[in-house]
Amino acid sequence: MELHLAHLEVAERSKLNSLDPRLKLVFSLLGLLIMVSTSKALLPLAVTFLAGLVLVLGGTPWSYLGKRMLPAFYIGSVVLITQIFLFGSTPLFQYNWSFGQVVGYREGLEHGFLLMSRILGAMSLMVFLTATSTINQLIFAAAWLKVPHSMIEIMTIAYRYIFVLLEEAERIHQAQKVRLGHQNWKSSLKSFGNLGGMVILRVFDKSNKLFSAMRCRGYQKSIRVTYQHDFTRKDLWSAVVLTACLLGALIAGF
Amino acid sequence: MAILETVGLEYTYPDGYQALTGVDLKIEPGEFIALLGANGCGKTTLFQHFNGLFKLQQGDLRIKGQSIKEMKEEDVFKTVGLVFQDPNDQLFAANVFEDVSYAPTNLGLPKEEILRRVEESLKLVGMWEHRLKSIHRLSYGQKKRVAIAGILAMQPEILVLDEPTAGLDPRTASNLMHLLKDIQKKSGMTVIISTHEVDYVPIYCHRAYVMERGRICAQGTPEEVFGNQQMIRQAFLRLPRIGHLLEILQKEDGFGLKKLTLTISQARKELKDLWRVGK
Repeated sequence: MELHLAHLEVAERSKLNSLDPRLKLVFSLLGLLIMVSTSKALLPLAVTFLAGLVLVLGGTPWSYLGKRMLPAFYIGSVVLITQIFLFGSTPLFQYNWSFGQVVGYREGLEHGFLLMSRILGAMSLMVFLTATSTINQLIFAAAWLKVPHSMIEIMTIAYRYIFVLLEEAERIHQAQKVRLGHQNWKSSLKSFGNLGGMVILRVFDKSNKLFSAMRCRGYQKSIRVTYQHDFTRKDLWSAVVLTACLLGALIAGF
Repeated sequence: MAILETVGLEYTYPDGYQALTGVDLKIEPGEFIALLGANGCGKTTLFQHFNGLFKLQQGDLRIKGQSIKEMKEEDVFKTVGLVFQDPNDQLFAANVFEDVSYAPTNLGLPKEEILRRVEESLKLVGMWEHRLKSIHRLSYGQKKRVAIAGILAMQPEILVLDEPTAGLDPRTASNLMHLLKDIQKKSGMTVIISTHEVDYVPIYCHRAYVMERGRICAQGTPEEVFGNQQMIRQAFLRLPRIGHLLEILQKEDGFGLKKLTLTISQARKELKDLWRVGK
């Protein structure tokens, strides 16, 4: 929960937070599409660089960016290394070990580098989206993009109630702890079992109450709310700049 | 004509527990009513009947003279807005604005009207500045206000609040009661609250009903209700603190107080009068 609140704070403090989330979502999706369709590593790397630059200029802390990008870098590195040895036919280097020969291939290096750059590029776009928009804004943008309504409903309810359930679980856990329910692994195991059961029961109870509350407010088998977002002149200019950036990256990368 | 009336209302839960054993009450338009009673006396069950969440088993409930049985569910919800005790049971949307817009959107209103109602409701409860905040980032008191705004946006004629001050610190609770009184005064809405916080009743309410074991055992103005001290104690309630102090002063210390005093301002006046006479 604390981790989420930290994310939320970064998103709310970003100067880019006031930009229309629809714009950010559309350009992120376009960026992803372009990265997947390119066969050159330069374009995803350019996107990574641009996203990072925009985020830093928007006030996102370096440390936050580093933390978010590090897992992508690890995964990308593993992919790169494995591709070098598993893919291709033109040897780049080779080592003779007692157990056999290890050969690294040029095509593997190129392919691995492309995949790594795509992973970094895709992750940087995700960081761009989540470090500048709150989940509420993203749900709104997804609804505007005509993502199936049932998915929007699930996202809305899940985002709202995950915190209620976490609080509930935390409360039960504390109550067990003060009554020595987590003294050793045996009692902990038992207590966690009880906690799981209790949380399920409370979920059932909460969902019944929520259903009643929604009925009182005219629930008609689907959740409909009104969003408050206006497309401003600032959004328009941002759209122009983002389009120029994408075109630039396209020209550079294809 | 009464805006809300129950006649011999009875309700038994599936496990056989009879929560309501014949409730008769009559509420006039524009009144601020308190339903007093100890835990488990049937207040919440009764409230869930008021807007048709619980189906009638025995007896009748009339809204503006019309039996709830003859009314469409939607019309009942539009007329009687119920605010739940725990706002976490009511608020579900990602942020404040969207949650409050839920009911007006369901009513099929034009967008301009939805926006107007949301703005008006949020401003009324003092939460307009927080409209873009996520619900889980609000304090409990703020959630209560948003829950009230969510119902106000439906513009009901009767606002029913189940234990509105439960779980709030004294200052927030007082502010909330002020807010409800303000809403009632400005809009002329009928407000019904359930509570066992007896101190608020003489300050804010026109009339009070006392519930005990699923039925109404007393009703009247706060002075009339708290005047029957034996009944109040039998219903596991008490006099407001200031009233209790003056009762002790009268009975045990021989203070010559003329009438039952339930609020600080009344007590102040009484004590000042006594002091002047003594001087």
